Amino acid sequence: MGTDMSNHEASRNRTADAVVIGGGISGVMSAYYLALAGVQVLLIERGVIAGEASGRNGGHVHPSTYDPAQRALGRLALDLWPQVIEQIELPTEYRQQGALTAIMPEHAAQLEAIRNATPDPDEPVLTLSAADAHELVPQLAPDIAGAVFYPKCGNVNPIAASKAFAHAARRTGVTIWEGVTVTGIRVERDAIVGVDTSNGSVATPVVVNCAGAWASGIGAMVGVTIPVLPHRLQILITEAVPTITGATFGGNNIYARQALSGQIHFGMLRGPAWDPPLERFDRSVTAPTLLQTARHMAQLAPGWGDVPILRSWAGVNSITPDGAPILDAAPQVSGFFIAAGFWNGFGAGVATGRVISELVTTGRASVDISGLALERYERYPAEVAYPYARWRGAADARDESSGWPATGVHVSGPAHPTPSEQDAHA
Amino acid sequence: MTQPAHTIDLLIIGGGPAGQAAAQTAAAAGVQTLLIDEGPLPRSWMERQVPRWYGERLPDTSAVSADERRARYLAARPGLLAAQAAGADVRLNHACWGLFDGGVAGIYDLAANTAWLLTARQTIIATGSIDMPLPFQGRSLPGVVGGLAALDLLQADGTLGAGSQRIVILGANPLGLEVARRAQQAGYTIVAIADIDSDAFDSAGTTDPALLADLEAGGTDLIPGYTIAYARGGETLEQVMLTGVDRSGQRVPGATFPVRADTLVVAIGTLPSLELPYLLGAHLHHDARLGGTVPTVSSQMASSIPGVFIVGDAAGASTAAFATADPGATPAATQGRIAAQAVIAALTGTTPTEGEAQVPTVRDAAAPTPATFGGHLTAWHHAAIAVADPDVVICRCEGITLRDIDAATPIVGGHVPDEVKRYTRAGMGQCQGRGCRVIVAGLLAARQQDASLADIPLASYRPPVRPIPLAALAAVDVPDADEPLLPAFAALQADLAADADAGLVTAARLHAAQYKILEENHLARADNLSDAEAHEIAHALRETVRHVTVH
Repeated sequence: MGTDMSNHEASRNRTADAVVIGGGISGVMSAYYLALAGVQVLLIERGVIAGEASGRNGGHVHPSTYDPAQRALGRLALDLWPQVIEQIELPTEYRQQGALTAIMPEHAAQLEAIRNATPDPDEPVLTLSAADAHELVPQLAPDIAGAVFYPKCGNVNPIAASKAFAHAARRTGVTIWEGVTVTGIRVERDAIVGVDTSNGSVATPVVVNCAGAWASGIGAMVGVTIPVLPHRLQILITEAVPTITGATFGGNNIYARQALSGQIHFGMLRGPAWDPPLERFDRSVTAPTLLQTARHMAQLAPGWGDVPILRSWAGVNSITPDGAPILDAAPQVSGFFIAAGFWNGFGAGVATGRVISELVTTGRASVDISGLALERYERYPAEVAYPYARWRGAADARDESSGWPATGVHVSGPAHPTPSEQDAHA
Repeated sequence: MTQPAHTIDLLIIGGGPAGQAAAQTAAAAGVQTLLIDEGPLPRSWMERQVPRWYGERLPDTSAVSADERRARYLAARPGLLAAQAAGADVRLNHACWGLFDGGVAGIYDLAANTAWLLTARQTIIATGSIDMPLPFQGRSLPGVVGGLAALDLLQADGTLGAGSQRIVILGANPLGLEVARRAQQAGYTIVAIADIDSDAFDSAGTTDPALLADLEAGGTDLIPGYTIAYARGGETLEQVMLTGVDRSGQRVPGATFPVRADTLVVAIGTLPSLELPYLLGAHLHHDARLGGTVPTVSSQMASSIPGVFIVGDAAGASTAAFATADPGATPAATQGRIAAQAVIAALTGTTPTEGEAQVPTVRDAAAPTPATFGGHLTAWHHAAIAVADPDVVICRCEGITLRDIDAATPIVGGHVPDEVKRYTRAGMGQCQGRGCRVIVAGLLAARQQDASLADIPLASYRPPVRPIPLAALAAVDVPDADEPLLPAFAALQADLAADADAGLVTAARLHAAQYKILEENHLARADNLSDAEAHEIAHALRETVRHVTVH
């Protein structure tokens, strides 16, 4: 394995300025920016780089800027992507050619509302006529009402990009351990002092939790409740078709992207809730979601009806009760940083890493992430966030590896915050 | 043709000797049996190398009607007619594109371009084997074909392409010799047979002395210790460059010579079709004698998945099948009958009958002797990499070269096929990896000291494992709607919509909440919660959504 040497080196030098847990894009970019800032970083990945959500997503660089809490982070990401791609000088298939969302006829009113909204100069949103949309993607249904177009968005091969970023991080001085599991985190006087792993112990004052769907298990190691649940996505891939557009496209509950080599990768924004429960750490493709995804795609883009589907895959990403990620320094434990719960985190990943490096090195972020604080959940106990925990035992229905809800979930006494507390939070 | 019932007792996938025998046995015992077989293959699938390495010089089938092709296909397989006579529902031009939990199978009718799901109480996988590919420059020239594919083509059309006459065969094993025999019968000149093993033609146990003598008398060069360096040609294959390799797989200096040929049959080995067992998560293991990675099966041919049996070449390549003219007498057929007996027992709650099923070592009897392809597969691949130019194409569909793969391994951090595949796209093209996944594994093995194909993890398979058109999948009858909301959750949805209208909940949070509502609804229904309990959950959820979204 290519990691043998770095494992060996780090075995001799058992200290790090910071340990990043998780080799997805958030962890890799956190390590990268920390190293650029002169921090000696060890990144620990249980499996392989981009083995989970960062290697198993649609490749859309389309951060959730529509959510006020994530807007600043998303905009930073859109600015950073081209810079990072230029810096790393490795192939990623990155293209900043916009994102098109077709509006199905039954939602024509949405298009009208967007057309009439006040334009935001920082984030242009265009509305396209059906004819213009068909110009970009001729295979779209003839009867679409039109489309919304986000010119600043882009797309990338998520696996190539994650692996390339990790390679760049190594070049910048980051040590990466793949195939190493974190078994414990040592805390003294409410401050991080070290990490125990399957490869031995490492002294460090800083731990960055970028463990994705497994972040709650890492949080439990230091007594911090991180309400992140796994969330499965499934993607289908067509045979290569002639190039249409470098923009991503979607609509009708579908997101899609054409890879440079011609195949179209597409998935459903929201699959059927009855196709096994969302909380399972399960990467198998299921027939109902596969077939429903095909149906929605065929409705959106019937022009590709004859194109063979060659393959599919499933991945586990994570979701929080309110759909927004957690990007914060844990208030309870000094030196414990969290970047987790990104339901749509790949596009934001470069900014996430940058913000983490700012939090670690300066104690404050350069963009407004106040809406992503862990505190918003601390005030609302987990049994409120996850009511069904009361009906299903903590051990039942949950993968042990998630660690959730190892702490913080109790059956009794939901402590609802008072209205005045809400106001204080606002 | 109408669709078979959506729930059946026994699904048999594959109509070769193993599937035929299983269907005859099961149907004769009164088991409701559906046997599906992909053949006769349409040209569009052969172009995608489904399931074997048909190459680029495909027969022109346009003059023969689809019905006529099916009739010929059946006529060449009396075992299928016998299964039908015994009461089995036998469907040609039907493929299985996926197996899922609970006996659910994805079926595709090629002729009607229709897909559907069916549920089988018991499943027998008899999907056979595919050609072992090998990387060399000129691999995509018309006239280059796999050994199993060559047998298919000779049987179906009696030819390996218009105007073809001179054949070079790689592989002096039972498969290669069977190709030689049938090609000779079809009037071909067997110019040469080469094998990487310097003892290949001495191994009496694996060769046919009479055939070899006959070939030699006819002018065939028997060339031990050689492999292919590259192939050349224009419209079609013209020249095969053979090169001597020593026991460590290195090129022997000076030992290179060209052979003029219009057809090259790569018969170095076969691989069990692993897609469907893999999708189910069936236990697999490595056995070089059986062609590499094979499903683990019991003496009853049961896989590790309850209700799923794997028989014939799909359970391990069996060259013994070439040694007999009667498909029903092959080890594969024996395995089919054993599995069918176990199915009958499972469906009727009895124990399998005495007889064949009591032979615990039937698979050993069915296995080729070690001196056939198994032990040499790694050697072929190591030599191919040793003599290859860096620009040799590894993945034809995506145009990924040996140089590309070598450049990728340090970036993906190791010699792991799935990681190489995900990074380079090798194996992600229109042949769905059939043409190159083993080549990638062979390359990764060659790049590690003393590694063999056995040391390289298997790359993953995902449905659909056949190229099924989007519209056909889209038309499959699965419920589109979410489950009906319990009254409590319907009320919650209305409440949140009102909150959104009042500016209390953003659209993004409402979207996230929708997941939670459907999930809670699903769990509440699954747990048969009372109205009061459901209302309590809905209330808590509403509080959560509101609390975290008021800013």
